[in-house]
Amino acid sequence: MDSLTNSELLVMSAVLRLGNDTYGVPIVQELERNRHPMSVATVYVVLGRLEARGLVAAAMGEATPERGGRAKRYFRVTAKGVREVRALQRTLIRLWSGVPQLQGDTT
Amino acid sequence: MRTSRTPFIATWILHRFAPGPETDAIAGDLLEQYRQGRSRLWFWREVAIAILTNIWSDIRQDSPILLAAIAVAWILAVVWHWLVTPVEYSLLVRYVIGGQARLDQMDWVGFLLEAPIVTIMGWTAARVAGRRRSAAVLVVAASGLASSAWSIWANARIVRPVSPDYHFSTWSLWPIPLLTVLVLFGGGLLTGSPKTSATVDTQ
Repeated sequence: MDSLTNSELLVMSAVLRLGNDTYGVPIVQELERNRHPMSVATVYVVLGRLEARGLVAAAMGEATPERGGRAKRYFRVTAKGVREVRALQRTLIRLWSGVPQLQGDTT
Repeated sequence: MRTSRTPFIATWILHRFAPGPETDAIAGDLLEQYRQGRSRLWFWREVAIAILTNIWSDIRQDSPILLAAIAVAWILAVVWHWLVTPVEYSLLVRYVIGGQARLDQMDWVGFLLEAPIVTIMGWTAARVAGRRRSAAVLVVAASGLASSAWSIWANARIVRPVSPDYHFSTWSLWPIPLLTVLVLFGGGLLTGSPKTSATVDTQ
């Protein structure tokens, strides 16, 4: 199984943080808030890849006037997606624990 | 919330040059953020990124068919130039060097000789590339622009030493945007309805 790339992990984490059934605008804004800005098109490419791997599911939403009558596309992380993120989280925690350079607040 | 007109041309370009199942959702997300206060420049930048991302994604997914489409288009161009360049040079020698016409008038002749082939190049690239047509046609148009820039530079290098009064004029570049538009027209990117269900922006 292919491991998650940086951008895939970031986008999945943003979707998880926002709760299920979120769409492009909040995802882009969440990534910006966390100092990892991504263009809207890039977010959709990443979500498309994740959807193809069954890690994210998408559904069409309602069209609104502020979107020029265009429908939203809602995304949620699937159970398989959550398992994948948790597996990577555990691996990273194991790898990072006890590394002196990664201790304390580095911001 | 912003109430000014939406960047209609940018939205139109997005639908034309980056068609796909997500294009409507991307356009909606861009409009929503624009109305929340993002700048027009931001909107155009996002559209440019969407087009480049779409091309790159098509290259990654179907590079053999895209390469074939671009190669066929350029092979046709080479054959056309092989046939037409002698005609162009004979006109140049007969009328310009013969003193019956000015060099800038040859721009029109060059444009009329180039117009059919660039249209055919766009059409061929679109037919060979199938559903990857927008990427193929855009790459052919971009490579055409690069080739025009190179040929202007090369011609200037040839003409300058033999014609000391030669001055490069930006006006002489007028055929290039028109020829680029013809590539896009030939490839069907400017006509008909885009593949996605583009909603008409009512603002």
